[in-house]
Amino acid sequence: MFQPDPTLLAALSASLELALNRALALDPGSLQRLAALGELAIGLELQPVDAKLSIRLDAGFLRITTLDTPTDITLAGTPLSLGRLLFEGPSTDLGIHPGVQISGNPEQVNALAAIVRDLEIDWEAALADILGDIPAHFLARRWRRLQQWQKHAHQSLAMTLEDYLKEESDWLPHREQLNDYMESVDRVQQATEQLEARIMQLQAHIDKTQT
Amino acid sequence: MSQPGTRTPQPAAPSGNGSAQAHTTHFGYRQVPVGEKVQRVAEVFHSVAQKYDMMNDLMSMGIHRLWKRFTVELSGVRKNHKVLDIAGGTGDLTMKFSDLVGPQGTVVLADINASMLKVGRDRLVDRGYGNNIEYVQANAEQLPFPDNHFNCVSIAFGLRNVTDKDQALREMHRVLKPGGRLLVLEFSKPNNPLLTKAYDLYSFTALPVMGKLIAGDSDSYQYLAESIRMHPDQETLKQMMSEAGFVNCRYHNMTGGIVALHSGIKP
Repeated sequence: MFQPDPTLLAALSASLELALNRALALDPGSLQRLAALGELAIGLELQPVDAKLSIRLDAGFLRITTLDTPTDITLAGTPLSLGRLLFEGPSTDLGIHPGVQISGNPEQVNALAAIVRDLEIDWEAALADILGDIPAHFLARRWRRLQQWQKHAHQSLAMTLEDYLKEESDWLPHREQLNDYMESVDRVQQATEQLEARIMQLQAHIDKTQT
Repeated sequence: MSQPGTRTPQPAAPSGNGSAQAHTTHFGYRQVPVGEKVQRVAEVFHSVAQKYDMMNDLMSMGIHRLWKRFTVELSGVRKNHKVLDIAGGTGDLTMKFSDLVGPQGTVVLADINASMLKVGRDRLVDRGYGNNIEYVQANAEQLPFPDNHFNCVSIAFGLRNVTDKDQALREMHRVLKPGGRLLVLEFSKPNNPLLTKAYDLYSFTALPVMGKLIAGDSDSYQYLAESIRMHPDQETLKQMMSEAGFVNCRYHNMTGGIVALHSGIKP
């Protein structure tokens, strides 16, 4: 596998360290919650290159190194998917973000997922420090409108597609039909388990009378 | 004397390590009496001390910060450790080590050159560093520290200026605690012929011009380019570290081998 030059990895870890610490400085609540997790070591595995980074919280500062040291939680994904996780937040409740595999202590994973889910980075404030209040507000408003439009377009497309697949083509069942079917499956599963338990009980009784 | 832009083999007699028996050693491509090298190197650094940081950023296009970052990462330095930063100059590594060792740890910034040490001390004090840093003017060949004293010793871009490198490595070995780590960050030999040509062209044309324009001193930067070519390559330095008593000696080539980070452990 391709082994990146240490200079490149150092550049990556330095940039990421700067970006993450700047982002967390814009959401102090998340930094406090992260600190409450204690001495947590998070590993980042960047695919498809063989690059590993280790993140540790040290006195309110995230230190990122290129060393392959033991970690409590590991996030694996492409730089793009990991970047989207940071800037867009998680898009599902089950995993943190599509394209990001997460492993480690389940309690710490859930706590970290909750922190990432609740990230509220005040990008407008950061932009205002560079551009001034008025341009920052103008750009942030445009950005929010663009995001709203994108969200609306996405929902609208999903609904249209759902309508077509269910109503027009009849390829997919309605939610009620699906719920009825799932309940039937649950009932069969429950009955099967009860039957299995009854058979085992009878078997045990037969074994006992024979001896 | 070799011409700029060409590779010159190590002088045969002292193996570039300034053996006193040979009476001469290299200073760039020139042979000078052993006793003179320290003085000549001192003149170079007295001359460039004030513009040292700016020139480093210009010459390396800022990449020297990444090389040093990787060095600190590999050091394994933790809270309460004692660290010796030899040829620490303007204190880039010392600052990072100081953050890592915390208030109970110690970092010693050592440099043979008073001008460099003064610039480094002023810079660190201006940035609010001080409680866990000591400043010592010291020759790497005769370190004024007790045996088995430090958890980590680093020397970044300094070893090639030392007259007797073998003696310096033995001294670093002596002051390290058993299990302590030596880190040598130094210019080395690029591992790609094309990169080597581009690098030679850059070193012998652009560097002296930059030195003249920024620091008002082209000779010092001519010396820099020459001294890099006279420095032992990756494998030779690794062997020298083993001979000085270090184990687990290894190196990481960085930026195509322009710089190499050697590490070794005192058993």
